[in-house]
Amino acid sequence: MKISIDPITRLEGHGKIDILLDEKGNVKEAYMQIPELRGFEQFCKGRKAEDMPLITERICGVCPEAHHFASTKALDDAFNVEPTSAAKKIRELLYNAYFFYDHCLHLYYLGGVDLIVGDAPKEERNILGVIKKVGLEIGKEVIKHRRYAMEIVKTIGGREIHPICGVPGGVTKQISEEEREEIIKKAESCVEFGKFSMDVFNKIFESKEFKKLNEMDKLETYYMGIVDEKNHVNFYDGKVRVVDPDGKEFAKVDAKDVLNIISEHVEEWSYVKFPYLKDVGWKGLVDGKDSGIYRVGSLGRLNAADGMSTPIAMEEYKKFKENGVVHSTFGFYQARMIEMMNAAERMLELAKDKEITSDKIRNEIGEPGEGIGVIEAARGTLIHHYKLNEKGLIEEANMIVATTNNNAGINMSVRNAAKKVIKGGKVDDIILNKVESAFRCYDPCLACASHSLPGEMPLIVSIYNKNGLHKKLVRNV
Amino acid sequence: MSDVVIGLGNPLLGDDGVGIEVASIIEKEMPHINVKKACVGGMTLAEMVAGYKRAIIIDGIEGEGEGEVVEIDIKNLKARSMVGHDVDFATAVKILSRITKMPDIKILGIKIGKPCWKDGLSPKIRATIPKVVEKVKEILEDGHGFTG
Repeated sequence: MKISIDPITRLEGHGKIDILLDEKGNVKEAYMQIPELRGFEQFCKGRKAEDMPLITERICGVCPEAHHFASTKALDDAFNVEPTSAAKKIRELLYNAYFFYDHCLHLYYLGGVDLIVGDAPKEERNILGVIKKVGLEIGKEVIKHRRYAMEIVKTIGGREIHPICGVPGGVTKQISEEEREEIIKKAESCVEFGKFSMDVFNKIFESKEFKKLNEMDKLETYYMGIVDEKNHVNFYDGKVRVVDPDGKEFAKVDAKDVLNIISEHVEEWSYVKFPYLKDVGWKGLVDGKDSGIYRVGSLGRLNAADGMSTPIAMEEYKKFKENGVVHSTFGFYQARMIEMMNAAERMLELAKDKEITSDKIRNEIGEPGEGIGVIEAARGTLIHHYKLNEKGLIEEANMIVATTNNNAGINMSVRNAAKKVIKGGKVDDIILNKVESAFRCYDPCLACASHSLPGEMPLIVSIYNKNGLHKKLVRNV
Repeated sequence: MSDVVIGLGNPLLGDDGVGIEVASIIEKEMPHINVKKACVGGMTLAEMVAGYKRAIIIDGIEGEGEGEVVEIDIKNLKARSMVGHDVDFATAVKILSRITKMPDIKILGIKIGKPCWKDGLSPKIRATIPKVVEKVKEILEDGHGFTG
């Protein structure tokens, strides 16, 4: 008996790309659709507010740490409490460990392989193809350092992958000196691995092949990301900054005001909404200064910032941005590599700070009210918004997740890639992989965008010509 | 490293949490066994079992015949392409087996209805737990079900 049980089969729906061909068999339009498992916000209603960080991290198996802390920060705001200085550092340390292992997964196992083995046959389009090029040892190092970062999450968060430490006003668990020393060792190793990875990927980014990929899709959009007081990228906290396609600051707001600068457009063919900048307006799926579409994620963050907070990442940032804003969608990869380096360096910085062993890990909370928590998930800005009643129970909960913020960008990139590679109705596996590679750049989390289950979902590609459905491919075998 | 038992599922999706419940019982009744509970898939799950000799994964699966328990061989899982943030479990195991030592893997699937946001298990699925616990013990004790 053959039964498929991986998370895909338990999903209600599947990712879907519809490609419409004209009479000559060239691409007229392409749309990406993500299904939705409804009812999560309803499920949260009436729950104890302090349970939200544990509930929302179950939305998705891909970025639970991001939901955990976006939720915790929304509760800080709702209970009108500032976490202690030590608690902020502890949260940020855990958060950088999450960023490190998540970016590592994408760069080496997933999207990154488009860069190294993009034209290779299907069976080699994974890390095995990468290993063939850079050696078997690298695979072991990837596993080892992802493990180190996950262990740091576990040490601080109390549980691997799904932390339980975030509470309004601070964290639940103090870090011991022994734990701190252990974290330092692992973080030091991650920094070294970051440097090694930088060398591996920089060689790729300088190659002719990558330069070709860089030309495949350029979108002159706005960009959004959280920045610190120096306008450097910060994954955990700061102000939300938006720059225009020329790199000029368009907005810089406190987290609580972020919902004032965006609106959500609805298209009848998509379950997922299309957020855009309210003051610029929705002009359809087009880029340019007059269109309110913005992009988030690694590229969004590096474009929205003026630099990185750590030395090695800063050096790489300067090279990356030497000609100003980077509009190439494949720039997400370069930005991701710089962020992985930054996450490792920041982990080490924070681990070396003795304050993280302080026992002042929680401040007293105030009266319940309304709260907004904004954080950078690995794949972009994540917003949690709660309204609590006087008993501290959830009355309303709303979330705008990273992949939703990138919905318009992803759709445009898929359309552009399809137009470039599908000609005369000819479609094969390598061509479709190129279309998919356009949205893999964004490191999308379909489960997250659809408030669905952990893991991934199958992608169905339907190609229509003038006579109707021309080809339907389930990209799962 | 020896054996690991992994309970998979999302306890906030009703019966989908059955794997977690089974793992909690194994954890109590067989303290010498490594037990993990997770809500992950793909590469992270594959990394979780890497290095062990044998791994038993317990998970709720969608399909007709609610409450039925099926044993699944990893070889029968479909390998899918990478489309989003992750690769599927079968592909991840295949990839990691080229890099590191991977265990013999046995999967116990408990058929559940369509998952939806809901607390706790339905009586029908809860009733399957003793049977699944026994099955896990049987596999661990006499090696039944493992190919290696």
